[in-house]
Amino acid sequence: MKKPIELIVNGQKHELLVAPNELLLNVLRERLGLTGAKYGCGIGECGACTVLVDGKPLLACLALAISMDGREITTIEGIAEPDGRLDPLQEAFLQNGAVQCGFCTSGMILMGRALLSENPNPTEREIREHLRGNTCRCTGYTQIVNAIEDCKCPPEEV
Amino acid sequence: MVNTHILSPEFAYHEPRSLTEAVALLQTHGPAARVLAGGTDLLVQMKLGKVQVQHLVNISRIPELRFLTSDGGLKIGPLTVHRDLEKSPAIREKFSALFEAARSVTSVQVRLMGTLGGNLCHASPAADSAPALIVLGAKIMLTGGGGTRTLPLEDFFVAPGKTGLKPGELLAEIQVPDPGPASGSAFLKLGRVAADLAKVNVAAFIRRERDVCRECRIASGAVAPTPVRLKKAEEVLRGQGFGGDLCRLAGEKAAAEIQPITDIRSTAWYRRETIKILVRDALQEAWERAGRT
Repeated sequence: MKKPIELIVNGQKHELLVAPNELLLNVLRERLGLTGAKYGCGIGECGACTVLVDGKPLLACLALAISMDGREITTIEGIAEPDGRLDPLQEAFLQNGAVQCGFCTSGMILMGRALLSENPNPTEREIREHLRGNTCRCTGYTQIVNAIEDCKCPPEEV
Repeated sequence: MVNTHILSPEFAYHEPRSLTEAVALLQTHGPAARVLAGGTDLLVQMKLGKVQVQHLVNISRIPELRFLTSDGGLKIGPLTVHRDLEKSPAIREKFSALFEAARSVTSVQVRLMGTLGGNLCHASPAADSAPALIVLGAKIMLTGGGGTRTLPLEDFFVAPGKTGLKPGELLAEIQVPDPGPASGSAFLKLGRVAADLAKVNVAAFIRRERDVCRECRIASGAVAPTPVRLKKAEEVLRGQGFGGDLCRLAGEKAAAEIQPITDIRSTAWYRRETIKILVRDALQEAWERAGRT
């Protein structure tokens, strides 16, 4: 039986009727047209479907949409400025050549954002540790880590 | 063919707001019902067609099951996610094995979604939290129609994927006693890569009295049908003056005591070889930590 839910996605409120077996990722991609979060493995191993739910990175492929009633969701489409200016981390990914095929990029950038908001000055080890659930099959990890390091906020600037 | 991009089976969805309501639902629907918390295990199994669910009871909006208090010992609500365990200063300071086990779980996202209750109730032989909690002497409180009962965690696991939960019963609380003075614990895990289930995991707890090992508990996962206590290995150290040779010997006993299998993650031979090292190192780490408290 379908149930009405309310999702706040990238600041915009959506009222949706969802079936119990609809996944958050399918709702985002197929019903809201937000295809930035990718469908990779579908079983929580690759991190390509990562979105922020109430600010925390979760796997949209393992979340039932029906259980997300009232939650605030941020996808990669929602992190640039309204005027189109990129988020500094998106900019750093471009500067570092941290995007090759792009399939993992949305997840990587959202993980980077989540890390920097909780730890503005992570070590390289902490960055790698934080990204360990996100797989890049072009194996561009070094550039990805460098991009996040470029957005660190050393203590004197905090 | 399995398509993990959709969740094809249809099921009735329930979202109880209290423990009483959840227990009533589980009693009404019996074996047709499954409990959903974080979803990182159950939804994967449903996608892969390994479990059939007619009634999905999502307990994640029950406030009574979401708590973490520390007053010497710990009282942990089953909805506590691994990330909360890892971020708790009390756990980091006094319950090292639990801290290390929580932190070792695959990825940040899974640690933010996956609950401690789910990790225990799914009864994976490789569950990381289980050996840590077993050596820390954890008890679990189960609630059902007939009231509540408490049992040691090590008696909870019956077989792969099977626990002592009776139909209509729900895990309501995990209790960990104060480890007390001069004690220390450690958890070690060997996986193929960092974001993986264990090939072997080991937890150890030691209480020392100067140079003597007064209390010793060792438990391991992914080496038997359930997480197991390694009592023969423990006996090697209990009441003895501590030393590297004894830790090595305990590792050998552990290797003889387990019943590992060969599967996609490792071979039985490799598990027997590596548990020797993990037991030795976990004991040494626990001993050193016991000296600092």
